[in-house]
Amino acid sequence: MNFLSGIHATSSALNAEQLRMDIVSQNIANAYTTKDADAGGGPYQRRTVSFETIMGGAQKAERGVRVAGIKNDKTPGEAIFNPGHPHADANGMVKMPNVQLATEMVDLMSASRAYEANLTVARNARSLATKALSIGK
Amino acid sequence: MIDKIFSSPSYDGSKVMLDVAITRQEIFSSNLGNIETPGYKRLELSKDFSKVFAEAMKAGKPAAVSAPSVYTDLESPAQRKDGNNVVLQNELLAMNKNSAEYETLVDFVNGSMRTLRMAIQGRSQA
Repeated sequence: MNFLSGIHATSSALNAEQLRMDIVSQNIANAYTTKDADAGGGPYQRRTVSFETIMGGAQKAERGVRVAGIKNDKTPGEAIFNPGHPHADANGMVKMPNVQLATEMVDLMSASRAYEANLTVARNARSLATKALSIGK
Repeated sequence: MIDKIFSSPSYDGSKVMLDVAITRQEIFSSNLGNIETPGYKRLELSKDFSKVFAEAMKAGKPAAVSAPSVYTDLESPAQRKDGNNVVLQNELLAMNKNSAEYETLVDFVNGSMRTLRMAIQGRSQA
């Protein structure tokens, strides 16, 4: 048992959501990157984060969460006509990344809402612990 | 007198329920931690616990109640495509209720001790 009950699950979730927000900012930052070594030298591919539950013991109520993996979204992005671009092909077409700002913003919002919810849980655990300390006063 | 306060059914009962409230808090932290995990099913305390506990209280032996088991709630329908059945507002409301219960129990335990102290010192605390 912990002094702050459930704090392991909460902190693992905070870390996971934080990583998700980092990935969103990486995607937005690379919205116009047309060369990415991790994507085979082509345009940047947006990364997606997947979560999985950390199973505790059968008796334990605490289930944390961790990042199962970060994957490249292989959906092709659009190609635009820009002959002056250094990465343009013979026809003057440039393959752009598949980052959609709207998608990223929605992802960012749900990650930050989930983060806030977990902070509320942490605050609540703290107030329970403080209350427990008042026993016998 | 001292024995009576520390082994009265309501004092024993509040000890049991304080532990239950802590387990519930762990459950809320797991459920809210996994609110974005695809396929996660929310955890819950066994539903018949309150009945078992109420009967034990009636019989005056709440200390004999074993800790409630935690199980996975497969019945609540998932409102999302990814199969996750955690609903943010339900968990937060239940967590609030649980905290209020916990604080009430702590106040009760403190009250019992204050009564005992009053009996020892012959006056109430300033």
